[in-house]
Amino acid sequence: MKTQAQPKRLTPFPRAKIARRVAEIMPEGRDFTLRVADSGLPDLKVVHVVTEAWNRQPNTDRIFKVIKAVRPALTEAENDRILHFSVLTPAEYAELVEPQPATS
Amino acid sequence: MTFKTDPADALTRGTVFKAVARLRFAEAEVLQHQKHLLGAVYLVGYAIECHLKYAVCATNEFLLLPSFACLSDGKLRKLYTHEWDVLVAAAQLRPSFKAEPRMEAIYTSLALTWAPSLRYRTKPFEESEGRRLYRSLAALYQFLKISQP
Repeated sequence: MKTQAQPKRLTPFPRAKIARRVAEIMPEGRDFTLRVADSGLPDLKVVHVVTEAWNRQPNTDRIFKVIKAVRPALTEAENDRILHFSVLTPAEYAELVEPQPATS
Repeated sequence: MTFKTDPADALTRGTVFKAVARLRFAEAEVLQHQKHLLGAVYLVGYAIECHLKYAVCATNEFLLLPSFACLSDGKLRKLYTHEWDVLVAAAQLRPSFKAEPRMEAIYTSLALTWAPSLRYRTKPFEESEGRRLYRSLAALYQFLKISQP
């Protein structure tokens, strides 16, 4: 008997959960936009937090702040969907986030 | 970490490395779309190397890439090198990889796979292998660009 390979079931992407955690650590009066992009690698996303918050801090410090707040709040399967986080100002986002490599 | 420069050395500006990284990555994308995977893989790896050299300058606030860095093992290492590990250490990017274990795993695997000697390779990649390698390298380049804009 032939069996067909079942498509892999992915955990739903925890966008709302991430947004809630990021909102909790935002300095008062600061806004942010969450942008979830394909990483170019199968099933893995890149999460961009686009905000003017912490813009005087080194980029790595901004990213650590978000990772520390978000990663522990996600399940292992949810964490497995995220390749990495970024925290960028709107100007940095426009400059740095180029089109991802084609996945065809 | 301390850095040294030989006064006789011709040094390159960090911003030149950054600009070259972007150009080589854009060229790699064109090659990849045209299915020239050998060239694409070589060039995106070279873009990573150039961005790492820029990151050494940016993190340590140098206008020009110094000749050498004295790393945590106390040894003096050339910074005009193709060894990503030396550049990652000098750019203080280890904590960024530690914080994102998937990226760290990709980096570790690629640092072993990619080498400048790829430019002499003539045997084509299997298409799936070449594409997988290219995508991983491109993801690493994007990660480095975001970690040290």
